[in-house]
Amino acid sequence: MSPPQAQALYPLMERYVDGDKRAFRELYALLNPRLRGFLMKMIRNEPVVEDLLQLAMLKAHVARDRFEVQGSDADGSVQAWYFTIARNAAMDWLRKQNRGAQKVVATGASELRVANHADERPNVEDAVASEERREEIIVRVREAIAQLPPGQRAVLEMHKLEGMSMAQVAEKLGVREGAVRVRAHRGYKALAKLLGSSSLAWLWLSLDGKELPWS
Amino acid sequence: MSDDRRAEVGAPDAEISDVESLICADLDRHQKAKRRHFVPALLLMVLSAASMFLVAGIRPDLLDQPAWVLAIHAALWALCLVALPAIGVGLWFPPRWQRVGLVLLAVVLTAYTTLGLASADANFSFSIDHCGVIVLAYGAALLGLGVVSGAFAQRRRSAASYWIAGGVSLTTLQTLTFQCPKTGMAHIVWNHLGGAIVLMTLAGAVGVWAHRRRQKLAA
Repeated sequence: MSPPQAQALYPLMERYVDGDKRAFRELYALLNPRLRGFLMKMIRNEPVVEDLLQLAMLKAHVARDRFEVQGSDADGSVQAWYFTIARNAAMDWLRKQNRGAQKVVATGASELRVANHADERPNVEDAVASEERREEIIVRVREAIAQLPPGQRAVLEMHKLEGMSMAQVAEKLGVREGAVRVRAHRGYKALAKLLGSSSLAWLWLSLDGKELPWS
Repeated sequence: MSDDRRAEVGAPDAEISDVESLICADLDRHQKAKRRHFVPALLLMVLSAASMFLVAGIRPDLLDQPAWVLAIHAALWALCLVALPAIGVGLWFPPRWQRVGLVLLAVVLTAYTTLGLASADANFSFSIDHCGVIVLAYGAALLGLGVVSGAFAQRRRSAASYWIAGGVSLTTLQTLTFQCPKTGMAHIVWNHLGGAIVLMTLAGAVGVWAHRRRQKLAA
């Protein structure tokens, strides 16, 4: 798919990288529908696309200092950069889905398949380091969530950790969905402050909580 | 999105997603950290200028000027101490037309405040006296402050260093304008303005060097 025509994205990107919140909001408003359309063509599942979009924006935010203009089209470079991050996030998700399906359907042949893909597996040192990082992040996020007021904590736990929708959370707590969204918004802001610049923690937060050993 | 939430994020019409508010919160945090560095540097610059006034005094005819001339001086102080460095470190992001306007304003106001009290004495002597040396020495101290504080490396593009270089040079020039009682045109053009131009060139070069060095270390 060829991305739609970019419009004055580069000046916004420059200001965003320099810390301008307004520029980020404008950039987000311009890119969000384009990325959503792009991901919908790949995934065709709205809730997943929404999650992947958020993940892509977070990854781009964490890596924003590394953005470089490629070629003479600066605006096009910005768009291509975001599209690449979104596409990679979608491909990762598709691969993960595919692996999960293969595991369920053909458990008997798994040893053979693992042997065939030995190069793709991380080595032991990487796996241990990754696990340690993961545990450290989990502890930090858990501590941060524990510091939230009870109302915000309950919403975040149900929404992010238990995977409930906002409507389900509202129903369970017996409050309006709007009120739940306000609590979630405040909770995320408070978490962003508490977690500081820990980009990995951010990425964990953006993932589906069911994959994490929270309890 | 509820009204409460809209009010909180300051965007009455736009739908604000969780990721957008997270990123905005992170940008806010970075800006706060920048301000925490900027304010002490600003205070140091103000204190250094105040120390210069205490040590060498203020020219006697300065306070005899009309109020509007003093207001122009105040505006130039605000420009060189706050506006230009704030753009340079990425705390303020005015659009292009405002940036051009600020530069033009700084040039016009500087020419007025520097030459406004000069006499029509056009007896150019091409000599560098102690005012030229003060511009360079005091300016170098402020420049050192900028380098040590990392002010030159706050923005992505090295061209942003020129805003800080401009702020440093104008602050130095303003300090000297407040102190030096000489009104000879030759003295002011060569030692005040000439010194400031040399300082600005030097500060720009040092700023770009400091920016590239910091970027290289960060890579």
